[in-house]
Amino acid sequence: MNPDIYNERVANFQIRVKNLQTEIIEKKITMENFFQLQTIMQKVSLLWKECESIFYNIKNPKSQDLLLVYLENETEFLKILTSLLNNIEHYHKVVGEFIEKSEIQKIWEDVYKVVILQDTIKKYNRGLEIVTEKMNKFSEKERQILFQQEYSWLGDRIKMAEEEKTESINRIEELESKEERNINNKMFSESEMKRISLEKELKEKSKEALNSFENFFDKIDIVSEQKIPDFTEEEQKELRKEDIQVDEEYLNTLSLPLQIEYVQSVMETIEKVKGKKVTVKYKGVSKRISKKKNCVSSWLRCQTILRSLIIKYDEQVVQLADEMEKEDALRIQQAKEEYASLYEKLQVVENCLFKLAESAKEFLGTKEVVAVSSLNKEPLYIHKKSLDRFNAYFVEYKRLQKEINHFLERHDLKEVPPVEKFEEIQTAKYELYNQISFLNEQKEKLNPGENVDELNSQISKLRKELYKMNKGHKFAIFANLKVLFKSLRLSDDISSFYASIAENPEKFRNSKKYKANSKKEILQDILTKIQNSCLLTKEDLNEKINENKKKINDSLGIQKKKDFLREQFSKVRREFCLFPKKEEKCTRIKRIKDSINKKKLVESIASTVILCCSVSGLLYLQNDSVEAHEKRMESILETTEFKEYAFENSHSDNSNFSNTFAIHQMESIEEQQVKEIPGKENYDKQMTFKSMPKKETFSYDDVLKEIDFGDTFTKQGSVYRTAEEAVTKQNPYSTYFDKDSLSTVEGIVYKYNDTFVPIYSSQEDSESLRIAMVNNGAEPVGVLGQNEHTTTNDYEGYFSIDDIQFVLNEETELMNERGR
Amino acid sequence: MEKIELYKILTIENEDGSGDKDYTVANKIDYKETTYLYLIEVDADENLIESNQMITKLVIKEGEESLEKVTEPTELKEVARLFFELFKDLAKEAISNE
Repeated sequence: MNPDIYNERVANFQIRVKNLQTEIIEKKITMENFFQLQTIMQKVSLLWKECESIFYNIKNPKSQDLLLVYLENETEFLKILTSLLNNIEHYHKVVGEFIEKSEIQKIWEDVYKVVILQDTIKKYNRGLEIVTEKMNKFSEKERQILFQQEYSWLGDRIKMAEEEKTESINRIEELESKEERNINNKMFSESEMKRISLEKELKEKSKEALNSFENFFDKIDIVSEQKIPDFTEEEQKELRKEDIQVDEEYLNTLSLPLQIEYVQSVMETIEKVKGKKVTVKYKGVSKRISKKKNCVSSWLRCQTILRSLIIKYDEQVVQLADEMEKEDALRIQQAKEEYASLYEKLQVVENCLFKLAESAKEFLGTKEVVAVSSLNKEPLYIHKKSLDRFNAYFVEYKRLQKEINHFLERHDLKEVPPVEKFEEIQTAKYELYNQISFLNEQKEKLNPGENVDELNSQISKLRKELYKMNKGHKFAIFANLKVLFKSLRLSDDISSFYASIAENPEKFRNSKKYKANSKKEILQDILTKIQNSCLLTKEDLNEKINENKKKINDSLGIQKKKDFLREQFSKVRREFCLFPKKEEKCTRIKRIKDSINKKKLVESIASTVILCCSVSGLLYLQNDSVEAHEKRMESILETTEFKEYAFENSHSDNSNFSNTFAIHQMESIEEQQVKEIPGKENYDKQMTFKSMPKKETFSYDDVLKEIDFGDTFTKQGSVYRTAEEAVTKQNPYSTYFDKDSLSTVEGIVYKYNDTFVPIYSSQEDSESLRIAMVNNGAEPVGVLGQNEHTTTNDYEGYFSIDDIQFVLNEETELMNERGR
Repeated sequence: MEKIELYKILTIENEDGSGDKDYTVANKIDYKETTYLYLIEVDADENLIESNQMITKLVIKEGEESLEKVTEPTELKEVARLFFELFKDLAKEAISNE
């Protein structure tokens, strides 16, 4: 019996996990508020620490593996519970203090179900095992019939329980992405609403409303119930005797819409008058009007009145819209001012924190300083005497940040909150740092001859704890990687082996146990597996993406997993790339030293940089081999052009001579058309730069004012996560794909009346919306790009219009369609 | 051994056995998790020998840092392009500062 596995400590751990499980199943643990959630999370966290501690106390790697298997049930239970609790915690943090008691109870119900179902499934599986053992005495056919008749229900029960458990887990996991999606939906629908209101405004201003009476009358709201009197037949006869015209006194008693209707009815009456008719035209409207009784002049006068009434009505509408817009603008302005003052307060506190850090710099390296937080991912040190002040400022800093975030949410402002520079490192680590530092101080204060052993042992214990905390992080990576490899159907042994390599590939590369070729093969295999795993993740979530049709928001769901995999992939790949492809082509670096006169060396490199450019340019453009470059250099210098240029410029400083020639050549290259690369013989004969091929590109300003979905571009600058950030150029990211790779336009961000309106190719009526924007003078200021190396529905991000170069696509005949 | 940085002098074993040569690191990039170096030969007085320039990548051979010449056409093309862009920007800056 292995004492590393079968001992009191491991047994106690198993009992504690079982007790927690029982408490949840028997509903002894309730969840009604955030405090209770944190209590449970702390219990789980302590159990994890105990598990890690047991694991790392075992020196024998084989025993470690056996322990992992032995405690598989317990670790699986803790893993699921941790994941569920983290999701709830995150949900709470996103929603804020608005989470209601009943809501959190509902969520806890799902956790309870998961725990109880897991236990049930285990029992059913055990039942199935017992049944199978008992049936061993029967023949295979008998076993099949017996199972079908008596025990098929067991299989069904297990299946149902599994499905229910998965549903509950999914409901809780969705909390995380749901809230983020809701927030993004809110932003998305707000811009959608903005767009719709702008559309309405455009339509109202449209000239069609002026010219088309029918459209116009559809929009009139009859405000009062007052009706225009119908003329009786007798009255009509009387009217026919007199001139039919608008009674201005009566007209003035009516509201504007009724005035218009009245005038219209008078005109109809005039048009009905019989007799010889003439065609009368008025501003594009022509009617056959009777010549009798000044009908023509009356009709024309009615037209004039009607026209003026319509113009008045239209002006009223526009005025109303303007007033609404002003009110809205005022509201936003006030909110922005309030935000600015809050942000100013935050900056003041930030400055205080920076000052404290500055004042501690001179004490760095001594025991006078303690690490209290991180500043841009590096530890921040504060003098011990300033600790109280620091804590006060830090609490205020956090409070102001929270207030600002709530303020932005309440006022629907899309300002980007300040980048969080200060991050609190784990409290436990902070405490450990300070305890170690305090004990060291105590040690120094001791008189010579006094016993330091006890202090040393305490310090050593604390250092071990700190080490374990860092190890815990590595253990988590190992565990996740093992799960990843197991999900790809690798055996337990291989999964552990691969996971331990992927977690620390550098150690594997330096290991002397394996040959270089074997190491390369293993690393290659790991890289392939990680890549395949990325594909699996995408496949699984594609259904969700199709259901919701919110491509950008759904890609958030796979982003975190993808980030983890990408990081691990990059780590392993870096080690893999350090293996030479062809060992015989490697040359050992014997020595690395500093230059004697660095300044002179740098200057001489700077003066030859053009030549370096030429060589690298040749290599890139001509796809040449490295050995040939020497000949190319010679031939450049030997060309007639160069010699002529040399003669003309013989008065120039010789050190810049080749530079200016080459610059001149480079500038002429950029004006050239695409040409085929000449054959090698021709190239040797005629060595010029003019035959270098070039991708034909144009910038937005040069050619068109119209961008269409599907246009191709290359990127010259950063990528951004949202449309707003791309337009305002805040929080840029480095592009993941090569600058030369092509991207297509899948969304266009327009600026219209100081509002940013994104339109996506996936939207309904996207094309008509785009055309409406263009026709009304909206300016495109950003695009959403999808890279050629990604699959559908996976976008690279948003780009500013200034940071992209469009590529002429031969198939679309861009120039011909749009015209200049 | 010291870390490889820009403008340091590397003494490299010559592959044809004709003795060691000194190169300076004129440029350096990280691309696809690999470190590429643009090397120019220098003489004993650290004067540049412009006719000998090459693109190599950093590898580990038998536990020691080594350089492998980049010969694979696609890789060479991609990396040369990156160096080309870097040098082009430097060149324009140099000319504008004159």
